[in-house]
Amino acid sequence: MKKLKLLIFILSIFLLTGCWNYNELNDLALISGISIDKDEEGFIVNYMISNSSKSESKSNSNETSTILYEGRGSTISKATENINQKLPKIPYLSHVEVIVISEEVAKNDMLKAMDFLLRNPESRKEIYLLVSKDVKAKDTLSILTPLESFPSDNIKSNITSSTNEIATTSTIKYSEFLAELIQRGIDPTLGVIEVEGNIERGQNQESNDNARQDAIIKLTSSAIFKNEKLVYITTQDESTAIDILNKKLQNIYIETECNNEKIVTYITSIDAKTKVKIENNKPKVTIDVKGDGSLIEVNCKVNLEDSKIIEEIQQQVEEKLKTFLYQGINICKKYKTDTFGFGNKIYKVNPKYWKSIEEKWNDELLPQLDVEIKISIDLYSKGSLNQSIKEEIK
Amino acid sequence: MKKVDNKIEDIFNYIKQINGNSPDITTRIVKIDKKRVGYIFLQSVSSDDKISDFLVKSLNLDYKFDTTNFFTNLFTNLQNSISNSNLKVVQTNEDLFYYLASGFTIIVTDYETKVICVETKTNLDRGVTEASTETVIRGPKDSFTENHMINMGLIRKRIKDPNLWFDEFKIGRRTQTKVDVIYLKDVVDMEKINKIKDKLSTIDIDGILDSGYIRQFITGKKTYFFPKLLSTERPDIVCTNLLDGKIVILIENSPFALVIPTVFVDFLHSAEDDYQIPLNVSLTRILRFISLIITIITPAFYIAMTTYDIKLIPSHLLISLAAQRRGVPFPTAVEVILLLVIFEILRESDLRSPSKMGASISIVGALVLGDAAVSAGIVSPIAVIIVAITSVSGLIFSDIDMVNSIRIWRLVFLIFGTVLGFVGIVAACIILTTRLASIETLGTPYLAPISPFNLKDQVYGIFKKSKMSTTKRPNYLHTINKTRGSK
Repeated sequence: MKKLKLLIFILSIFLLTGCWNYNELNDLALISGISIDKDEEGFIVNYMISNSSKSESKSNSNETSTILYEGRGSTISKATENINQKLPKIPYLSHVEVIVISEEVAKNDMLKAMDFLLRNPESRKEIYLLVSKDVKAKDTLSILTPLESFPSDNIKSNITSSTNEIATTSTIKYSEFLAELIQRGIDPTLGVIEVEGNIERGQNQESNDNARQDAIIKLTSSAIFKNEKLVYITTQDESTAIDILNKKLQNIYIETECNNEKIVTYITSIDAKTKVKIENNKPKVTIDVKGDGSLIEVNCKVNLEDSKIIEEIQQQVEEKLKTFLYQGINICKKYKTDTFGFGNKIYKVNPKYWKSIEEKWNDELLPQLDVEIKISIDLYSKGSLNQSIKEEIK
Repeated sequence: MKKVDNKIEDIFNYIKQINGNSPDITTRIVKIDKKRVGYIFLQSVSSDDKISDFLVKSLNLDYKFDTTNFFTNLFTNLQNSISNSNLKVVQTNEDLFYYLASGFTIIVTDYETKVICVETKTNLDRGVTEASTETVIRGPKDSFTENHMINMGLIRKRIKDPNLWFDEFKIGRRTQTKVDVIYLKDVVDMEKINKIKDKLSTIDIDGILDSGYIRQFITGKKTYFFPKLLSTERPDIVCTNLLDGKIVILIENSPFALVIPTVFVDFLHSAEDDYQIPLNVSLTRILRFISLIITIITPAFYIAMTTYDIKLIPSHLLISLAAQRRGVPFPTAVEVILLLVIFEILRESDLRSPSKMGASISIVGALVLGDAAVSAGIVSPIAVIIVAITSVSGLIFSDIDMVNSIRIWRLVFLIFGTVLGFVGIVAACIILTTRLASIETLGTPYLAPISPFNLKDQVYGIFKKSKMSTTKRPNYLHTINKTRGSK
């Protein structure tokens, strides 16, 4: 009897639970990229599925390994339903790596897209969110590249390398975007994706056979939002300036003049500390920017062993960097959007004061905000050459 | 008890009668000083050379004895002339056949109710050979054989201490097997010895053929998959354990000795752990521990991962897995179980088959079942990899019972993982741990020294220290003498 009870107990564990949430890998369509576009009739959603039968083939074969499913509908959910009807497998959203949103959607319907993604319990919140400029969002997902197996991989590796290594643009994850959207006194930015070249030929696998690709993906600028609406897409330099001030970028190349030639300094480990003070009932922002510089290209005739000249170059670099960074501040003032989260800092320093100015912050106070940038760069290295090459030859 | 008949023919007939006139019974009557002396032996277990060289030559001396003292004088004379064999005077019929079967020659006279037994055993054993199941790279290579005396000798020659005691039992109504309880008198907790002796004396069975029999009697009716006692064929391991303060049971005709009490970590130890650099040994033991976990958990982990918590798999790996799974007709669990069963069949057939057939088995296993099954799309390559990792890690243990019990638990984990995902694996972990923790042998917890935790005993667990630092015997054994050295 006791054994029977135990048996019933154990059996009920197995039978009553019924393998909840059980999915075989074969039954899933692994979605690695989503694009959201809009036209007159409604939304167009594209799923990029990465486990098509093509992905099974070896890496040296010349087949495309990705496949796009498109759905249309008056809402995003309707559009996804439309895809599901065409898709023979269960769409699996946990491994989405990239979501590309068209400029138009970003301008008008950002919240709708956010709501759909946030509500879906399957979706991870660590997805790169991008805005497509000049092209349809779905086209960016379909540009093939010989370096990675899937376009979404290409975009992702592009993002990670651009944020870590070279100063072009920084990108933001979906969860960070949401956080910035929700917090007071801060407006979000997103990375912008562009396609250079012929889109139609870029979607063709043959394009990968050429040494020069027909179309490539670029991540060079940032999309600036005011609340949930896209207001401006920056240039590359403005985007870099914003990212340095937001501490998302640490490296930059600075060119300075010298006898009509150029000296290039590579600045690394840039750290920007933002401090907010309230003086005379007016907020004042000071940003301390520190960094290490090294000369990587010297084209003019200078005596680099002279410490005065080094100091001179250092000053020039600092001056150049300052004007460079002010570009970013000016953009924000122009579009009345608090990309740097100054308002948020004020709120943290003095919540009561923040409440009194919250209403008029973006429109009145921000454009006239007093922002001071202090720069100190430490030039520590001249590379392997002590002099400029012209001096060395002499 | 029936007295021995005093007529020679009566005794001969009696023995022939109880043994059904067995063909190997040999009888002979010689005359000494015109008095008849008979001797009887079993040709199958006795050495003809010993009988003719020593015994008969001693009997054929010219004796001049009185009839009254004939037997006593005969015994004294044999005792004086035969110096290297066992010599006994026996009274009862029951003992008579035991001695015959043990290779004794029985000498009978017409005048006494007693008989003389002289050991003339022939050598029916293979010699001391190299250990076959517990091989070492460095360290002693000898192993126990089927000969009880040689086995005892292999221990005795290693520990030359008067406190090394052998307590002998004869167990088995028909086999009359010698069972020796071996321990260091001044070290071991006598309570444990008494418990073992109690258990051994209650054994009522017709035959003991191997130490496996005794093991079952000592571990009791309650079944566990994990082996409760370590069985070893290496005298050096036996001596290590004796010096630790453990008790060893040696069984006649069995090359495997039992170590009592055994704890779980003992199975993670190898014979040569004591002979190598301690730091390396610690790392190796960590490796063995990891492979224990791998071999139990991997299939369940793989199934739970790919069917419940897909989001935990990195994207690239997932795409690769999904591509491999394409076209496989079975669910993941069925696929893995299929391969596991096939592997177990391969292992079993390899164990049972003569060595000449091993090559064909490995060809069939590797090529047909591995490669061809993948090409045919019956199983996915990743499942083959998973099963291969599982199986190889499982073979790190030399104890066959351990390997087999791991096999069962692997299946339990697999079922839980299939039905409940990671929750199931955690549940199975809890069940396994409670099962292990509930085992005890003679009052020693199976998980000692990890649970209950004892810091000083950790040198007997996973992390080994040098012999200089290992001055204390394991605490969990509650030995009388706790130190190894003089202090």
